[in-house]
Amino acid sequence: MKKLLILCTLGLLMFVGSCKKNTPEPDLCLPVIGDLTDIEYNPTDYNLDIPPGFPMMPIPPDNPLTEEGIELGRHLFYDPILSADSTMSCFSCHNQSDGFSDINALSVGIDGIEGKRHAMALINIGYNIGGMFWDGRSNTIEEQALLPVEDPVELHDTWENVECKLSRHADYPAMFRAAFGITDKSLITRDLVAKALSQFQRALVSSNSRYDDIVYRNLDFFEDDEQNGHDMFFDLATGFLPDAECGHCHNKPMFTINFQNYRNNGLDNPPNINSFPDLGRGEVTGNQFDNGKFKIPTLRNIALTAPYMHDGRFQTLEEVIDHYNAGGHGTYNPGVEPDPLILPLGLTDIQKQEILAFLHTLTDTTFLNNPAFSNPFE
Amino acid sequence: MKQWSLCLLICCLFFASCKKDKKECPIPETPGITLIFKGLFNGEPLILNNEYTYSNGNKLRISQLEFYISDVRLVKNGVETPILDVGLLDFSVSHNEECSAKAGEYIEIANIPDDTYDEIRFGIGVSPTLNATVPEDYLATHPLGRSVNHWSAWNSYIFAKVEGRSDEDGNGEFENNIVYHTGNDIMYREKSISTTITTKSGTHTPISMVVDVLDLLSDGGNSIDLGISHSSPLDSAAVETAVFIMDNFDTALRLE
Repeated sequence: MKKLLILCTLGLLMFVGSCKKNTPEPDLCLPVIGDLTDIEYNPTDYNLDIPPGFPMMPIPPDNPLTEEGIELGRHLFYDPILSADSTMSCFSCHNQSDGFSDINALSVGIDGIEGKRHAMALINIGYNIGGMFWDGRSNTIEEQALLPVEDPVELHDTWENVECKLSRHADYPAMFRAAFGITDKSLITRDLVAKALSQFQRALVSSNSRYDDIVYRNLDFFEDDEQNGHDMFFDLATGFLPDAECGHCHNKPMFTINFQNYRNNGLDNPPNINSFPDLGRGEVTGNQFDNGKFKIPTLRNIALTAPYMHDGRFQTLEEVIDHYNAGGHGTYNPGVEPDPLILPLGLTDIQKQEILAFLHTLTDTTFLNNPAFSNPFE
Repeated sequence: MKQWSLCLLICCLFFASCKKDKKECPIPETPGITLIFKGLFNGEPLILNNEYTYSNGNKLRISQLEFYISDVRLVKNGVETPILDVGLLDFSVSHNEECSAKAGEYIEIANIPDDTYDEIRFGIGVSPTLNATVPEDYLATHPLGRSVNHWSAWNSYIFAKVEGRSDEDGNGEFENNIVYHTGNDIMYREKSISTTITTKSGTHTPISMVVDVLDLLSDGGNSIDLGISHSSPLDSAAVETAVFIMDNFDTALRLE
């Protein structure tokens, strides 16, 4: 009986211990106040160059780009201070050398728990006005930036704690003052953090690929295989090459589209429309016809941002091209058919290689090595 | 007596619950002109992804309806007053369910000179001048800033889109893709509607029109064989299908 009691107690303790793991208990942070008005507030407008062929970037009037705001955002992006145990920050799943994406199919948070989706690449994200995340649950970058901090499968902290940690930090209060003109340390808020992170992300413009040199700068030429791939991609090869249908959803110059950008691309074939393994956009809109739809990602730097799809199911671009060439599954249960533009393409092996060759022209290595986007703590 | 009270209570609860379900989807009564376009299929409200019967008896589902209008003018005694250069009617959100589908997709136009006009004229598609531009020339929020609506193979905006699926063999599976995209200057069409339009500053003037998708795909005598025509070269037979759709706007789009 005694043994049983001990065993039970031990079990209970282990249970409680394991529960504790899932609930963040950040170090107790006591908020501080501190006058910042002796620090100069004179933000410098950030000169966002519009690359050839690119449109103007929509910038929200209440969050204009400034040198100070972007620099603050860069620090926050790379600073694990945003996580409960100070081990992870945005860069953990959006690594510059991987095109600001994650090499893992499913990203893992501070508690070692896998999220249900692959981290999206942050490339030309400032041009994205059609919703953030694979399901578009946030309308703006500012809204998006608020979510990972408290997400149990991501940074798993609380905003109260993060705000407090930032207000007590040796450098951040002055940086917030310089960027946003706050007069006191206690005025550092999650909204300002989100604004700074958004400014930094808007600066992440990729426009120096071979494609840009060829099409927009007239500095280079496509090789024959790249040219054929380009022509199939955009249906420019009248008569002798098939239409690969890519351009409908991955239109230039961003190689994505800014509206109607949630599509069912034929990845799954569930028994009915309500049984997709991940409802995607439908979970946000509540419209069952949005079930199984996900955001169309940019193809810029696509060769460097494997794995692919919302769940990272494809490891290589060859697998992705095979998927589309087959028209997704090809046959579908009634009600779960993909977008009408997903259809068998009939590309030969050579033509698939030519599409692949063209996709490689979208690689911009300067984006991956740009010191302005790099980790300021290294 | 107790039973009567119970009965009354149940009735009250029933009606109260009915009231809750009655959804209203009003169009905002903004000062100026509001052009309202209600999607239909064979005279019934068009609800995207619902099943309808095509002219050959086959079932189909429309998943997208969209078109541009350009160069909108009010006319009085033959004199034109321009009121809008370009607008986009995208039915993908408004026509997802019955209430908002019945209300329609709309474009608001402010600052209209006070007068009584006898006609409204507009182009269906993107006018040649504007069609010489590209989405990169605009902010993404502008109707012409949508990269999804420009097709470089035509060097043109996509003037209209009708997308969906059909069941061609009657087996209950909607295996056939419907993707009709139109574009290029040769497909730009003018439309004029005679109607009395009185505008007065500070007041709301709705002009309510319908566009019937069945009438876009079928002109009574001829119907499109459902299939893909969206991306074929401009010299192919598929262009005839796109032209047929654009021509059909003349009857498919009318005053409510």
